Amino acid sequence: MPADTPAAHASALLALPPTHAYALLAFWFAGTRESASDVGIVMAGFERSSLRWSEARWVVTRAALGRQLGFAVRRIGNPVAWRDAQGRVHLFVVATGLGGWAASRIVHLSERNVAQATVKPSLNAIEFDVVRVLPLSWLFNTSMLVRAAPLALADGGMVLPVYFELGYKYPVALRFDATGALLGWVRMSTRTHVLQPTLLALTARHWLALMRDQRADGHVTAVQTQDAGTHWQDVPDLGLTNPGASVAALASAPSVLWLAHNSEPGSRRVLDLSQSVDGTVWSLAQRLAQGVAGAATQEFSYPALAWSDGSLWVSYTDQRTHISWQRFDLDRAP
Amino acid sequence: MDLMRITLTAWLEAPPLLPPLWLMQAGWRLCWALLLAAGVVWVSTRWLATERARMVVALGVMLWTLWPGPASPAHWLGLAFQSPSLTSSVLCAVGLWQSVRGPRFANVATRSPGQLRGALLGVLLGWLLLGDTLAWWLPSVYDWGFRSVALVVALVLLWGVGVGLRNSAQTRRLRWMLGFVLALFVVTRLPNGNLWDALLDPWLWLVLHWWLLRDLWRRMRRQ
Repeated sequence: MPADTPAAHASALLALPPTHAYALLAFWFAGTRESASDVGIVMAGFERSSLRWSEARWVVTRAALGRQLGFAVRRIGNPVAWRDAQGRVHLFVVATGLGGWAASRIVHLSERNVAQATVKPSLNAIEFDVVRVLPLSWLFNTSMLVRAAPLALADGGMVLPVYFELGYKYPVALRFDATGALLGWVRMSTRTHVLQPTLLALTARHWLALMRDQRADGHVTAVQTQDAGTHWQDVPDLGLTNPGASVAALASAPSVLWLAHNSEPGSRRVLDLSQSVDGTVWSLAQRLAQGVAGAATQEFSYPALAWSDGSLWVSYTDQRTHISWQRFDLDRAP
Repeated sequence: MDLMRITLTAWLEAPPLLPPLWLMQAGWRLCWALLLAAGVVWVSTRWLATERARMVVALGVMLWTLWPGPASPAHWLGLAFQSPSLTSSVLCAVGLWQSVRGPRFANVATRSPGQLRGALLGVLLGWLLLGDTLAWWLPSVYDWGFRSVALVVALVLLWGVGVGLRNSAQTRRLRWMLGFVLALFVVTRLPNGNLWDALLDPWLWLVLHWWLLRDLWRRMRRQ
């Protein structure tokens, strides 16, 4: 954590290629408290040679974002990262307009110098420029947020799962080409209580999106597509409880699916890692974090998953004060 | 024939063309400058007796709005509302132009059957887009605004504004103005690459409601 930043939340992980000095980058938002005016996006990298995380440094601040956009930004939230076909890192950051999180927009930033992006002797060389605020809604372009990692496509492009949350909550899939240009979007569900979708590719064209459920007795909700994201259908909820908390999914190999999720009703005290072969039936693989029994205010939440160096990496919000991480070496697993 | 079909297909299926950041910044500021200048001149028209006074006030407000950074009202209006539509901006520009050349702020909202039909289409489009935003139906109508086919739809609607009506000066003026908005969008992609945002913003949509209701009320009182 940077100095004097007691709050941290909503981490995102980005795997880097084997030739890179860093195995992965982590981004999260930090500041004096959530929604404070000094909240910015922080980045750190896990160095392959030293097996240590680099010093966290600010890569996006509210003032710089407003300056580049040409209009004010009230607060900054969830970051999501993606690496395009040229190796350029793109950041998608939630930035609010007039109102709370439900008045958010998604700002697209990209790495300033792609030539350095292929070498990257130092993470200090990574700077981001605003590409634009993504135009996603007619109503003053408000209430679209991003949370989970994109799904990489064979053509070098990606699908970025986002969601609307002003009253109704529904998921949307944005499609980008290999350079990071927006190609279009499609609504993923007819339900209006589901948000923060995370994508899983079961086959090249059959994908699943798992989501946070905003209902009181919620379960992890799901939609699927059989035609690579052109059309989506609601499918029955999973058997997993969801206490209105973000989930993260990843396919490390065909039929090897992982899901990090809060599993206790009504709290974010327990964070689990579950495994599945089909995305429908899940079994507990590992308890990632567990607070003291009865202390409902304890929180381990907003997980992110990445696959790098034959390992599954998990990061998550730890008590809203810092970001924790774990690495599972699956090649050595019994 | 095949070349024509391929060209047409490529045009219809072309990915969204979004304006670059610098153009969005400049365009949004200019749109807000026109809107604020027109609003100030309209509100204070009683005290601005001469064309010169109206021009000075309009230029002052526009310069203030175009000023970079947080000192400009556009910096804060963008935070809340992003950008006005091109239609609102062009309407304000026309009103401003006439106010600095005529005896008072121009009433661009005279009611001809063509204008009423145009307002009704705007109201319906707004409800369609609001319903889309609130997920009242599954197809992503807003996304169509990025597609070339939306331009075809808009041209058909533009033609439909005057169909079956007497070709009055007001209807002709509305058609020219909307045609100019479409041409401006094609060239600049402002305000954000989406045609619906170029044609209609939520504030204009509300004004059109008020305008139509006022007209309906006057008609009912006359009967």
